[in-house]
Amino acid sequence: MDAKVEARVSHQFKASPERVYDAWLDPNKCRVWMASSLQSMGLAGDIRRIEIDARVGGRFFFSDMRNGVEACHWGTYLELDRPRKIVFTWIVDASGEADPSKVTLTIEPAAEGCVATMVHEMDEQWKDYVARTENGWLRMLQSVEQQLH
Amino acid sequence: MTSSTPERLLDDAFVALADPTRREILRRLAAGEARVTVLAAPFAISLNSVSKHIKLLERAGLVVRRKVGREHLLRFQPNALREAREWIAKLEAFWKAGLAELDELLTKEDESRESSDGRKG
Repeated sequence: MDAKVEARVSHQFKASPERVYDAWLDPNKCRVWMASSLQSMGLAGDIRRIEIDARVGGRFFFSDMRNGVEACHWGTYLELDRPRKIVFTWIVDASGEADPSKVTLTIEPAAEGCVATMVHEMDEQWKDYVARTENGWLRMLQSVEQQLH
Repeated sequence: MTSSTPERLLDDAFVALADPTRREILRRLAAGEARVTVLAAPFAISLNSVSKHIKLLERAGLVVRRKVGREHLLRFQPNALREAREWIAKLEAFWKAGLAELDELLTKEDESRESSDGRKG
């Protein structure tokens, strides 16, 4: 496939791949860094539930309060390969259950610490459409936008 | 449009873009507003089929129609595509913040470990 519709971010850690991997599956640590990351995005970061069943096929559930409403995120672990890789589905509302989006966290050792890369792919059904778009969806989007200017 | 949540819009936009005829229609409309009949002319398919494609594009919010007398004029509306971009940008900001804060937490752990080691030594 030429172009993928995905969100992709990387971060360099001083910590070892094992520590980054483990922090991802530790409910107490998740509670702390998720709260601060929500706060850094201007949200309250008022975490309600953090549930992690860290095995392949196991579920996780995170929720936080946003303006009096509980915002829920949940999914299933598809791959757990310590300390290299975690793959999970990511669902934000029940309508996404049928075709959940997929997140892949890859942790690669670096000279000092490691580099973690997260790729959040669109729902399977969308990916399919993208694959059938011979020039790639993003390229289409760019060319159409260019013609507008 | 009815329930135009970002997910719904995106879904429709992807269906709409998955077809070469519809992409060609969009390319032509990106050059400017056009009449349905003029738009349909270069395609080797019936006006009826072109109309069906246009309906799909309208449902996805990518094309809007206005009537001038008996003419139907179509215009490209890229908002639905912007939704897709924003969706990606939002997720990137979310995971970026997550990784940065995880780093912060692990760095703090190192610092407190170093300082307690220091006290012991």
